[in-house]
Amino acid sequence: MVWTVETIDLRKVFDGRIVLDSVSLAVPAGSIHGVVGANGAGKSTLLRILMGLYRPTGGQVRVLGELVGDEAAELRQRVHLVASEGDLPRAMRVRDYLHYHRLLYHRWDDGRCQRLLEALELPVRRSLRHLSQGMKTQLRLAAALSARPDVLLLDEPTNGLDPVVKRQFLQLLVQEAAGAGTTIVIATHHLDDLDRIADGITVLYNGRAVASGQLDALKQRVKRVQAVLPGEIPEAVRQHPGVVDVVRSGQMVTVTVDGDVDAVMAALRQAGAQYCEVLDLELDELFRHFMDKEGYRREGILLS
Amino acid sequence: MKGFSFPKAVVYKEWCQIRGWLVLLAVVFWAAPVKTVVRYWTGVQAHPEQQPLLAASVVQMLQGLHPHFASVSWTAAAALVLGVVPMSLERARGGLLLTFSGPVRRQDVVRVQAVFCLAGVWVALLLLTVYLFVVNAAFGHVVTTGDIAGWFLFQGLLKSAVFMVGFAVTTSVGNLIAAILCALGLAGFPIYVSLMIQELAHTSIQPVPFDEVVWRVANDVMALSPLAGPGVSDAPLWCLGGWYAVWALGWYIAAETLFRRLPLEREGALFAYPALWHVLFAGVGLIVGTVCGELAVGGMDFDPRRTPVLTAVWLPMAALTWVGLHQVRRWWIRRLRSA
Repeated sequence: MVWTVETIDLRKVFDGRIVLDSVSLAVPAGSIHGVVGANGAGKSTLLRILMGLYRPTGGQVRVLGELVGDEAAELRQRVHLVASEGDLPRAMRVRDYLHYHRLLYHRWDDGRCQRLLEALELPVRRSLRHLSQGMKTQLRLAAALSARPDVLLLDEPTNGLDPVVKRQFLQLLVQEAAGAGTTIVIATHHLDDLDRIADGITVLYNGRAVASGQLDALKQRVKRVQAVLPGEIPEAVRQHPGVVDVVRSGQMVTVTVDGDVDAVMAALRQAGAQYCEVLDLELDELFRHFMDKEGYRREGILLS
Repeated sequence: MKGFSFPKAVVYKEWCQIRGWLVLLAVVFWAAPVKTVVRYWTGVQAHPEQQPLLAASVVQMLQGLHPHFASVSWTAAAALVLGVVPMSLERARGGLLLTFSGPVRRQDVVRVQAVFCLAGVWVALLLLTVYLFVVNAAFGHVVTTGDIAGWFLFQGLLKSAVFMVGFAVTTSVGNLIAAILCALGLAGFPIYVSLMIQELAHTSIQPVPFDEVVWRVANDVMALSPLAGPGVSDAPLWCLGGWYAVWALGWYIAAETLFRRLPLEREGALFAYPALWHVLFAGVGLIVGTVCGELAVGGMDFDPRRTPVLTAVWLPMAALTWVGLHQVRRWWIRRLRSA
């Protein structure tokens, strides 16, 4: 299979610190792939390497089948990065910024740009220095989509967007992936957004990809079993290699299982469980599960 | 993008970003000459009896147009600052990452920005030259047309040279103030060498005043700096103009090379190339060593017999400072990493 975005054993060391360590990622064409991770996990660095902005220390990076190098100017005609970081040129107005992109991109679509401007209600005469953070992000997205990209890389795109605009923003992304076949990679902390639109996901922790694949497959792998169990939790459940977490609340027992759920269900039933059901995990629960496995957790703080 | 030396998009963006700075530069260039003439006209209208006195100031300004008398003023510093400011502000705001997220080649950005700024410098000077030509004619041709043309050419080359130093420095130094200081330091380097020559000569031939040869050599070296101006040297103007042209070209090549290799990971860092810390620490060590050495021998009045004392203090102090600063930096980096 030919991947639109692919990294093989990608490694980035910066000032002696390992930012990315052997990250392998494969994103098929026309899909939406989420990159999630704790703060400083290397999400933004990964996207910047995919754009050819940062040089990898080791491994391979291919986007649209081409090796990404230092001077990837031609490739960037088809690959766009929309980041919430970095200031837009302050001396420009919205229409100047869009005109700059019109001159820059061969596949610029004026009709599309006009429709996006109207839909996003962007003020074309306003100076970029007077735009809010949310407006700047919308403008960047409008500019990127008007250039009809093959690959769209988004770094924390929903930061600063109100819920209404965020919904519109996400709809645009889904439409772009489904309609135009654009491959989208999103790095974000907003897991509920991602849960609604992503086909695949990569979880980064301390520069390592601790999980990567189709979101459905990952959700299929990690399940939650809830049972009403009057008696003791059987050792067979506690000792099962796939059991990650066991929580008891009264008679209700919740078991998180990474692997074979059937064996756990059988053990619970054998122990006298009156009611037993398997539940899917939400993406944020799945994320917490992977982080727990890596030992990343924060205790609550009691403020007196 | 291949084959386009000046892609339209880059030209458009740089024009939007730089035009304000170019207008400001023109205002700086024009301020003194326009003020002189405005003062003359308003003065004459208010006090007609003082007309000869007021005219003298305009004549003095026109006579100053001869390149040999052109004192390098803050207009040269303005050209240097123009070299630093646009790129430095773009780097500080994370603008380079945004620029290179598009299909833009690094050399195009450097080339377009350098050409725009230099064009701005030369156009501002050309308009000023036309203005001065008119004033010169109005005051009965105080200086020749050749002098005005020579002034224009020489000032253009000199300001191009000093602009390019600032431009090259900003490709490696991320902070605006640090970049301006570094650029001033580099542009003034021949001045320090000249001072050192004078000081060494002073030490060796005391109490006899400067030897004529030493004096001439020191002044010629000083004139190599675009901040020193041509007045300090007897070297032919075409020679100095040629030197400034070479200086501008050399610094441009340095700017393009450094910018092409600039690691964007260090866009906001003080020094884009860690090796520059060595240069900084060596410079600080040199200054500390010199100050300590001078304190040890009792001030600036050197006595040749005290040279061994000076060296004995200077060398260890310079080395200790250099090593000490490196250790502090290492400790700081370790602390940041552990945090």
